[in-house]
Amino acid sequence: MYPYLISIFFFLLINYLVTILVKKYTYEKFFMYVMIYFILVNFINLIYLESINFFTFQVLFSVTILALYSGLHRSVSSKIMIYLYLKKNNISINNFYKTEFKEKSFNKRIKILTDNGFLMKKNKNFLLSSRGKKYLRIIKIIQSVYRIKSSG
Amino acid sequence: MNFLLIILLSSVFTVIFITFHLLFLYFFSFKKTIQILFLFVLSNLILIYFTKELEIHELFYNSFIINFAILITYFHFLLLITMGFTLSILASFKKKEKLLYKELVKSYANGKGAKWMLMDRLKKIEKLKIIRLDKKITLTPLGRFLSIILIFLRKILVVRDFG
Repeated sequence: MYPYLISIFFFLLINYLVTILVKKYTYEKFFMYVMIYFILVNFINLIYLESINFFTFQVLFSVTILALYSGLHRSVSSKIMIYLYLKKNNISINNFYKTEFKEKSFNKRIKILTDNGFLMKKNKNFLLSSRGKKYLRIIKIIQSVYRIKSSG
Repeated sequence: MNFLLIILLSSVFTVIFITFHLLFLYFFSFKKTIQILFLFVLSNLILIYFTKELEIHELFYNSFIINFAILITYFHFLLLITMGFTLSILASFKKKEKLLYKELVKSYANGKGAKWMLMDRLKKIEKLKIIRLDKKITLTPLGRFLSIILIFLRKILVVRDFG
């Protein structure tokens, strides 16, 4: 039981230290951290513990923690809930759409896409870069395989 | 050796599971993401049968945990391609190559618009009795309780910003 608890404790402790040391701790950086931690812990497991149960636990823990972090970091629903709780008041839908959703979610995603080279802005127009076009082709293929007509 | 056998078992599970999902999607119109739980159970039952035949059923328990991790990953992948926010912004360029900001807001989710997306999420959490929705959005006691858990988890994982 102890190795399991110790591995979780060290995971959280190192994650806290990494957030202090690394600027702009994004989901991609968290993903990298989880992968490195998973490899290192299982390397130790392979040499000293040689436990299959510990290995399977680490697989489930890593996947669960990545899904959880993704939800806490990116989910629109969780953002709405936390916003309402901290505001301690009700808010009109239109007001929330204009001030919070459009400004802080929609525009932010467009900025992320532009900063990461998926979108380009030319004379007030947004257009896909070659990288964006490549990803759009992949999205189209996956969505057609899973028979998804529209996403959102 | 056992490590490799478990990985092999989970690989077989992945192939069976995804094949079943695609077959059920095409022949029985399985569209709800939650229906894949049935396929998860079915694929594991097939795996149990084979592990018993090959007398390696002791390894199945470890493989099952990895299979469960695969289910979470697959579930996450399906949610991403059906409901992904950023991905849907990219998909807005399917019909038009150039879009003004206003057009981008309107053409989001195949022309449904960005406000539709917000309303869709609000209706979903209203169904779960997390919020009350009329012209204003109000948190229910359950919503307040879940928000406290979310804030607590964000503190533990040091999630400082929203993506």
